Amino acid sequence: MKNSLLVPLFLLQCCLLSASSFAAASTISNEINDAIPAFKSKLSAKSLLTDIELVGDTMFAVGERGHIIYSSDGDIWLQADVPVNVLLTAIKFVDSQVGFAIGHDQTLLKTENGGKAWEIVNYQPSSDKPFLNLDIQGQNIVIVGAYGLFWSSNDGGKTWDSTYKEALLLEEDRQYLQEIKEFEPEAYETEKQFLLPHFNGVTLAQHGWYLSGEGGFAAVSYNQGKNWERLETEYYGSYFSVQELAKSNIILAGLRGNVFSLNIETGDFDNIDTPVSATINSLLIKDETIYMFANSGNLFIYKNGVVTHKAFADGKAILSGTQWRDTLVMATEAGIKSISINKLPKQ
Amino acid sequence: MLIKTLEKFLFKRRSLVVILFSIVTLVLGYQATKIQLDASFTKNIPLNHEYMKTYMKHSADFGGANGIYISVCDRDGNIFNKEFLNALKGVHDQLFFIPGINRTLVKSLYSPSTRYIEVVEDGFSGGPVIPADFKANAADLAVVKENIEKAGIVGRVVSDDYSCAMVSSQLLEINPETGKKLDSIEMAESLEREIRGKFETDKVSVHIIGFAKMIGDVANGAKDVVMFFGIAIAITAIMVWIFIRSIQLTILPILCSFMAVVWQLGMLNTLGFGLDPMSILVPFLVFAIGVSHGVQMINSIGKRVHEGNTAYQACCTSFCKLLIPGGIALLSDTVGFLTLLTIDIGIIRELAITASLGVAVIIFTNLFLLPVLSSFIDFDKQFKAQPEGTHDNLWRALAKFTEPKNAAIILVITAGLFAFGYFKSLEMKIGDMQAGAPALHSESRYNQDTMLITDRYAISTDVLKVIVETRDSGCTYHDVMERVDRFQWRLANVDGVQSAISLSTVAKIVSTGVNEGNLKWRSLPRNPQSLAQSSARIETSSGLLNRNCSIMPIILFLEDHKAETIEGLVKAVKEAKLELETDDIKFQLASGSAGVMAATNEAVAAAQTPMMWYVYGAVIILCLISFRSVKATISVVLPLFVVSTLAQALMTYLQIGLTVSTMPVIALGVGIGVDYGIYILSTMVESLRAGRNLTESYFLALKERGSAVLFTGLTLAIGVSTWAFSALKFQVDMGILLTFMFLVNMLGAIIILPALASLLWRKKNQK
Repeated sequence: MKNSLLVPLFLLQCCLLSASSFAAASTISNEINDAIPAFKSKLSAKSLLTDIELVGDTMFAVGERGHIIYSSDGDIWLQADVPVNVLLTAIKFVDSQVGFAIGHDQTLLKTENGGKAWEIVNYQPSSDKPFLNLDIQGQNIVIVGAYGLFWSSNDGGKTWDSTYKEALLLEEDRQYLQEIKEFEPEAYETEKQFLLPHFNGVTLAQHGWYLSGEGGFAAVSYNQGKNWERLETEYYGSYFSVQELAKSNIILAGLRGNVFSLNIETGDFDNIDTPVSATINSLLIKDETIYMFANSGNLFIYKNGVVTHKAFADGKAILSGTQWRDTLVMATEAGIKSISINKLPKQ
Repeated sequence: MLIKTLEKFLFKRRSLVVILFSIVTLVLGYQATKIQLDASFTKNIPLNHEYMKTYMKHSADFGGANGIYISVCDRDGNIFNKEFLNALKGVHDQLFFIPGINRTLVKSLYSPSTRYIEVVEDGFSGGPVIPADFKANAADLAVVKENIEKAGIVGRVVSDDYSCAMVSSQLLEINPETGKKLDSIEMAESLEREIRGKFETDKVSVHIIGFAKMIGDVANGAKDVVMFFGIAIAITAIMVWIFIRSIQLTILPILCSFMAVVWQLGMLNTLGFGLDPMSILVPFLVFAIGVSHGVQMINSIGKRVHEGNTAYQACCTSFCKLLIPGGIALLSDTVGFLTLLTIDIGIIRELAITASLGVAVIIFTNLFLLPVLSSFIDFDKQFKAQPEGTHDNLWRALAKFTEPKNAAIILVITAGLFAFGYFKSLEMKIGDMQAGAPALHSESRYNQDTMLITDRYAISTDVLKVIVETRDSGCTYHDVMERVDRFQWRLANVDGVQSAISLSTVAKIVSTGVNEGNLKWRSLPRNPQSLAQSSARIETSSGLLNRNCSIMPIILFLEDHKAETIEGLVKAVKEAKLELETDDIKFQLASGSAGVMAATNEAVAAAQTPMMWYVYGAVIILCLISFRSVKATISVVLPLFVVSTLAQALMTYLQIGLTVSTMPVIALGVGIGVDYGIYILSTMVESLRAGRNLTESYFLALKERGSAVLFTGLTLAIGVSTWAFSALKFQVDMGILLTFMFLVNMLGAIIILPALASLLWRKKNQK
């Protein structure tokens, strides 16, 4: 954890904890029986939504309290049967029938009937770590989460591997781990759990796979996740989203409106100016346009090197968006919000 | 026998009696001048209701439901200017120093607890919304505006459109300066004088709402009530003169009835009670009931004088004749009102005492003193010479109501009306039916202010709090917080709930904050240390937890305080409670203004039926004792019951909800109506027992007492109908209700009663 306020508190308050709760976190067991099904709520389309995804002509959105909602007309949203009530953080489909949703407590849900009903693949409340993002490319699926959680499947989600990306540790952390590994094997296991940064974003793109995360973390893999290398950027705040613009050229977006384009080969790192310093939660690239969904009701639109800005009056954070017909439909802190593409500010 | 003894006792020493009554009147009159309007919040609450036990238990930690909200508005619609902010600071500081305000809960832009927090690269940054070195220049004003947005207080502390800012607090139960119960009316005056008086200008307007302000405005309006009483009394006097054509006989019953009011108020003050603004019509009702009995008395005296008796003889006879029916009627009223004491709401108990005292006193002033005083009158020849039996034709016509065919028609119509009234009365709503204060007109300043505040702010002032009681440090346990969160979510989904907040809401926001403001972390951490960091560090001044966070309210903001809204929510709370409560996580109803209303509504609903039973029980038992006849008792009580039911239907129609202030009116209505029936029937029964047939008996009863009944009903109805012009909505409503009661009870006594009698005494009728 790099948060300056959190770290001292953590140390102060947690003298008693390590043995009990951290040990529990390392015990991997399925605790499916503890799961509480989501409550069917009239407010599900009006409360916190974290991700939205278009599958065929149907939109799916996930959010707090195990809400998975879907709509084929952009107007009426139905709530799916979900066996957990934790905050869900992302959703993606392999095809029109099979899809995955992830969330807190390392929740991994699967649907095989086009999103109407969901089953638990994994649910580990004792780990107290959320999955934060996932991406799918063919039969490859990658799920990332807090403290470097990294799950992957190469058979469309039939089997899963959970790996610890030691290669992505900072050099000093790796050395520290090596030192304690010999003398304090217990402390080693514990520390290991919390040394990797949060992986906030993952993108499986044409020319490479990318990760973005806490404290200026970005990484790339050119062999479908077998090997990863950390990318150097000149920003120490967190990135929440990464997208590929072209071969060796990615865009990173994060805290307080910081957006950069990075050329991996040349190392060119250029700032893209945003008019308001609102944290950008995710990016959507559509028809040469990059939509940046940001906190405090801000939407930045980047096209031909120019950023335009739309501020929604309610000031509610926008977490994700998708283009559905000629409408931009967004998952926000206050539920679904849509705006016609024509009504967005022109350059 | 007893009556004869009493008659001798009173009339032999009649000067002494008058002197005695004068002395008592002087003493009590002096006491009455000291009577105060007295309103307290807790008086309106059923303190022993289970919700209110929860409310009282936690009111020290979380304040009560007796809030005060002051919205300070800029008339140009923009608060970001020096003059406005100075005024706002002034209001904040001034409110802080008004005795009786809970100083720790005074909240506005200027309170130290109003802070903002923002996430920056290396952690948090935060501070007071209005910086310590604030200078009100353009740059500083822009900073304040930004801070307000960061603090997320738009809609609560600042209005949605930045035209107003709120200063709010709660009232203490005890005034710390005097050590006495807080006087709501005095508080309202202080607010008016110290806040609105000082800070409302051409540029800044001040809007104040809250129970204390409402009751203060009602008390202000209540001053006009005295004027309306005056008008009603004047109309009554003129009508009595037209009726009896004797100045003396006009003045005396009014004087005696007025004396009853003086005695009542004097005794109340002596007993240490004040007069609640919502019960202010009780003295008038006492006066009205007094007039009703007084008119019977002078009518009887007048008749006997016309028959050639001396004043003294006429008064003695009238006294003997009327003591029983009058006494029975008044006693049954007294006992009936006293039974209201069993209802566990302060204001209704007070009303029970106020009303029963007043009615009991009428026995002395109008049944004893009035005939004694009248016996001094030296009637002139002209009065004595007035012919008897001028209305015989009318009475003959009315007596036809006892004929079986007419009686049948009347009874069928009555049954129809009753059925209609009954079904309509089932629709009668419990609790307040409109937003704002129902006692005040919708265009009153108070209700206008309420509208402004509900319009411009996101948060309503109708709040229900469910109190979570759990183990010590409960907020650091995930299982507790998770349950609180789930419970809250259930209720947030109930219709009529605008929004909900609890410690779990804030803990999730803090959790988001420590995770760089990333909403994908807006969840309760399972790790106790992280959870403690998110929840236990929140200050108790937020009103969301007590010191060791074993008590946490879930605060629900409602769209309005209509009875259905509250009822639906309470039902949902009970359902969720069944499902989610565990041995050491309890969800208790209720606090907050709507929590109090929920308890009050339930108590009122529960009390409604018993109250009617008690009042009618008293009337029935006393009628049975005095008439020794079931038939007679039915004839008196049944019309009363029909009228009560119709009155409830009228309340439904007028959209008057059943509340602590309107509920007793139905009981009082019985008190008004019972006189008519008993007076008429006592003559009738006597005549029937003497062997006359029903029609003849009814004719005699009408001749003897009918004109007084008809007249009283009309007179009082006319007097009360002027209340429609009152500045108090409450008085307008009561005016309509009472007009209805006076008139229809009278009609019940002279139309339904004989028709019923015709059915019950069929044999007598056939002769």
